[in-house]
Amino acid sequence: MPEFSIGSYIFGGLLIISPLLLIWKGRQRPVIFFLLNLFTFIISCKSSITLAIAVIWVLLPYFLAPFLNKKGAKPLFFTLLGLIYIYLMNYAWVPFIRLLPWNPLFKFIGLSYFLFREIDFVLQYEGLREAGVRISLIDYLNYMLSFYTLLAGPIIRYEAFVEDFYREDRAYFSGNELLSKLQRILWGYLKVYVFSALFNNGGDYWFERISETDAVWKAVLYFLLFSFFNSAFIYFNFSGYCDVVIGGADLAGLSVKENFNKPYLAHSLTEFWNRHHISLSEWIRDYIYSPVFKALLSGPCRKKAFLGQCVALFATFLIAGIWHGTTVNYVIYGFLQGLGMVFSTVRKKRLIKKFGKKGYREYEKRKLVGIMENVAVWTFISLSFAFVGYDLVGALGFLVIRGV
Amino acid sequence: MFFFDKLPVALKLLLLSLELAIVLYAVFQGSTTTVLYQGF
Repeated sequence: MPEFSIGSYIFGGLLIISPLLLIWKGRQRPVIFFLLNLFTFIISCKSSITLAIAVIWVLLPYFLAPFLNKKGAKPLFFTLLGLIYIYLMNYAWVPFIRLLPWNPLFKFIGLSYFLFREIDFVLQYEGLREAGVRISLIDYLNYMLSFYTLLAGPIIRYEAFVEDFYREDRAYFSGNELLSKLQRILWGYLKVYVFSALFNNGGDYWFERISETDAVWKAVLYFLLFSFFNSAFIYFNFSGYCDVVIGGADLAGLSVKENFNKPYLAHSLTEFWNRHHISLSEWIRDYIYSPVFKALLSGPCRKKAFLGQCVALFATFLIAGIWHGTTVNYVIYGFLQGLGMVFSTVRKKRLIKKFGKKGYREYEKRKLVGIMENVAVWTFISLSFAFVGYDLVGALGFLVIRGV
Repeated sequence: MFFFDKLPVALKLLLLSLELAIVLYAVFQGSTTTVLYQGF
C-alpha cells in the first residue's frame, strides 16, 4: 500500500484534483468528496483487518448517537470509546492491553483524530437535530474522513463543517487570490521539509550527545540545546503541516480552522495554548475542562471555585498529555503542562490582587516584563516539549545507570 | 501572508518558483523529516 502523508504523491495529486472536482455545485458534490475521502481512507488503513476495525470505529457513533440520550447511556458509550482507543493506541502500561492481539497499523485509527470528531458529534447530536443541521450518513462520513484533516487535524466541529460545505456564497477566486493560496501551501511545505528538517537534525544530534556524555554540566547543556531545537522542530513541522492543509482546503473552497497564531509571542502559558494547536485547545476546553470544572463546582469544590478551576486545568492538561502518546514520557509532559497552567493561573490571580485589574494591565504592558514573560514561556515550553517525540526518560535513566 | 499580497505579480511568481525549487531540492536531497503525527 502506498504511504499517505502531506509529502506523498497521492496527497499532492489530491491537492490539484480536488479543487477542480469540488467546483461542482450540484448534488454530486458531497458524493465526489466522499469518493476522494474513501480512497485516502482505504489507502491509510493499509490492511483489510485495519480497514474493518476502522469502519466499525467510524460508523459506531453515527448509528448509536440517536439512542444515547437515555440517562447513563453517554458515560457508558464514552467509557467504551475510551477503552477501544486505549487498545488501538496500545497503551502498554494499561494492564489488560498486553493480553490482546494487536497490530501496529491500528495506531492510524487511534491517531487520526477520529475520537475528537466522534465525541463532538455524539455530544452535539441532540442540539444539531433541534437546530435543523443536516445529518446524513454521507455528510457524517465526509466530516469524519475529510482527507485534508484526516492525519492530524485541525479538529473540525460537525456543525461548522456542514455549514461550510453547503455554503451558498462560495465565489470563484481571482488569479492573485490563487497565488496567495499557493503561497500558503508552498510556505507550509518549506516549513516542514526545510526548517523543521534542519531543527529535527539538530534535535537528534544533541539528544544523542546527552546519553554519551560523562559530565553532568555537559548533559544539562546538551539537554537545553536539544530542547530548543526540538520545540522549534515541533512548531515548524506542525504549523507547516497546517499551512499545507488549510491552504489546500481553501483552494477547493473549504475553510479549515486556523490552528496557530504566533504561539512563541505568548506572555503566559494560558496565552500560549490559545495560540498553539488552537483547535485542540478549544476542544479540550469544551469537552474536558468545562465538564470537569462543573462537576467539581457541584461537588468537592462547591465553595472553592478557584481551587476547582486549578484542579480542572491540571486534570485537563494531564489527560491531553496522555492522549499525545503511549509512553510514560507523555504522562510527564501532561503533568508538567498541568502544573504550568496552574502556576500561570495562580500568578495572574496574585498579580491582580496585588495591583488591581487596571494596575495588572499596566504591569503587563511594561516592555521588560513582556520580554521576561516571553522568555519564561519559551523556556518552559521547550523543556516540557522535550518529552514529546523522544524517549527522554530512557536517556536520563541511561545516564543514571552509567553513574554520571 | 501580508507582505506577499502587496508584491507585484511577477515577483509573486518568482517567489513561488523559488520556494518550489527549494522544497523539491530538499525532498530530492532526502530531507528525512518525519511529519510529526507519524513520529509518535
